[in-house]
Amino acid sequence: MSGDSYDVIVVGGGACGAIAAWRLAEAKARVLLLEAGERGPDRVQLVGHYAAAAIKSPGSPYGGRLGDQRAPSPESDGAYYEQSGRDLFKSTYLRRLGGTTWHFLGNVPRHVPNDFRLNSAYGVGVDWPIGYDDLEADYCEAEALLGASGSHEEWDGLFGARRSRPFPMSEIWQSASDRHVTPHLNRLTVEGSKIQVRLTPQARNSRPYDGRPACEGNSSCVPICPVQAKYDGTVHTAKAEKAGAEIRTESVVTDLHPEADGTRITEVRFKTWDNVAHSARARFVVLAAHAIEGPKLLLLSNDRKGIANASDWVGRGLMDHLQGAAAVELPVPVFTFRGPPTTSGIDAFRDGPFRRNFAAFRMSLGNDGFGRSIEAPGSLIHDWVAKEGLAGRALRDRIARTFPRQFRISFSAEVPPDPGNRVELSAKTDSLGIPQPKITFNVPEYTRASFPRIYRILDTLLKPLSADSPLHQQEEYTGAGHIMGTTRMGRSPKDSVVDPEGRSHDCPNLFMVGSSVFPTAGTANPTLTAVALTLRTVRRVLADLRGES
Amino acid sequence: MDPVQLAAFIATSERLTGIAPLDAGLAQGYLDRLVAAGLATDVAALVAAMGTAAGTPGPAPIPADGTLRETAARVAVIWYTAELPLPGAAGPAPEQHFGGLLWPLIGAHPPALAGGYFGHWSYPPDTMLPAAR
Repeated sequence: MSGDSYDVIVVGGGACGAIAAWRLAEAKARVLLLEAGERGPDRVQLVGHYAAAAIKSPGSPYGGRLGDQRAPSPESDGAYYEQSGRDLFKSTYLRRLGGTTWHFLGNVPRHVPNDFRLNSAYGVGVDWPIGYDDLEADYCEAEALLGASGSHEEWDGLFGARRSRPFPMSEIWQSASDRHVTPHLNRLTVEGSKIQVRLTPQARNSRPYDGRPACEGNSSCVPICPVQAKYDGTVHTAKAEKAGAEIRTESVVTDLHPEADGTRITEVRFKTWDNVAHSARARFVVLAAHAIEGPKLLLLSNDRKGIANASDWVGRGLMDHLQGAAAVELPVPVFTFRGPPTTSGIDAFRDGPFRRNFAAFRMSLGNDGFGRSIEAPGSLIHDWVAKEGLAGRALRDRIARTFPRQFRISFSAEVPPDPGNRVELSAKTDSLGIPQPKITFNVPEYTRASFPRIYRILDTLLKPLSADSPLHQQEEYTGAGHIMGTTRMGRSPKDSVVDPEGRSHDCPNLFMVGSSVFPTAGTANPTLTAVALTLRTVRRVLADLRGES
Repeated sequence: MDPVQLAAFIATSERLTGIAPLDAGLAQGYLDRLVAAGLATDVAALVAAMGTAAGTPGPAPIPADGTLRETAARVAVIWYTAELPLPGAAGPAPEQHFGGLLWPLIGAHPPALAGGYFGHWSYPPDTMLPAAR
């Protein structure tokens, strides 16, 4: 297909790339979407892979295939990242048509207004070049596209985040455990913050919606929803194809190649999994390859001289939400391990004057016992037999008594942008000869110093629920899978990669979508905000296609 | 030591897990995985130590020996969760994942198998053992 020409080439078939391709194709643009990963196997086969996996990791349904070599990721190869920082960057992603939303949890809260002005409000990080109100209408549209279930009344006005439209679906019902603890937790005021348990907005159907069924509580949202009641990017890759977009999978982009002066992309070069080189041309390119592969491609481009990087910010400002958890055994059974992994959360600590000194964080009430981050059932059962000698009826009764009483609260804490936390090109290459990512990540002191405070707050929340239970804590932080910030947006070409509409400061026909454009992380799961920003960027691309200024 | 007979493995598993009768198909699959993971001798020793008579009343005689205890723990875990967390050990067959004893015992369902209708998680399960209550 060398030399084929399009209006727009979208690089990456995750949620943001798929929605961009769909919107552009609906507007009659000639669109090619290139996805590094594969399209198959189908959902039923993937559920079988998951059931048969020795370790039920987020990537477990999707690995064990040629893509592990041709489009590798940290999920297919534990050594895919070359890590050179003091700390480990622990979040991963999936290279497959539909992207990482295949195994995202599905929580879709919005940012709150001060997330967009962290520097002005608290002297930390930077401000975004846009505010909450600039994005509010796009948030509404993003909720409609993903299919968000939530309570408008609970969320309208949270820390000033007004909502102009209700959610498209009513809320996902609270788990039995959340119903039990909510009245207890709602009596508390902790460190000056009144606790209110809210039903988490989720991209999960509470009724049949957009041709997909209501959630039936498979409890396997991470890593796969067997019935697609939870949104994933294939919802919109299918719509994009129906609207006329061409999708080529197993096509790994290797170079966004510019004309001689480096200011316009003229050619998109890619390799298919058979290691054959191809290229295509387009008037505009939308980079939607997420926050590791995206900057990696920019650094690789222009025959490895790099592109869109006059600011030297490509790859810098890598962020995540760092997670921990604490748990107790409640005095009564609350019947966890049923339904979505979380249905409620506590948002009281997502904003406030404490952000001058400590990271904001969002808390999720777990619906999966102690969770794997503290202790999975198999591990406990093993110890009861091996260490306590339990067997027979005593073992059976201990199991029946313990697991329905387990209750956990996890947190996701903000990581501020640091130019030293970054993605570069490793000297190691994959099977197509493409450099792997080299990651430098040091947990900023702002976040690290917040962990003791957060665990103290968790202790205050959990202890009254179960006076006799020891408090179990997660030992090490984990990554939330919320990879952000490596092609950040800003007004100045000196310290940002794209402008407020997602256009490269350096290459006017190159746009970037996804959480890589976030200047700061906030505390909201990033997918909804990434999709809202994508809608904004697509409007700009369409205006450019029409020749509008 | 002679290979473990399926019936003897089932009898030991029933005494160990406290649940009977156990499914013979699952038992064969678990025994195969344990043997493939290099635990044939250990499982045979466990079966010999715990006896082969099914339905023995009263507490199961859990061995005091450390190796036997560890093997007993692995057999219990594989029955309750289908997991055999040893380096290089094969994962479960899908029917083993969906057949874990843990889930019905706690009124839940194995992940990736629907628990029923929308919202069922908001209420106590319809059936579970009195011990859980």
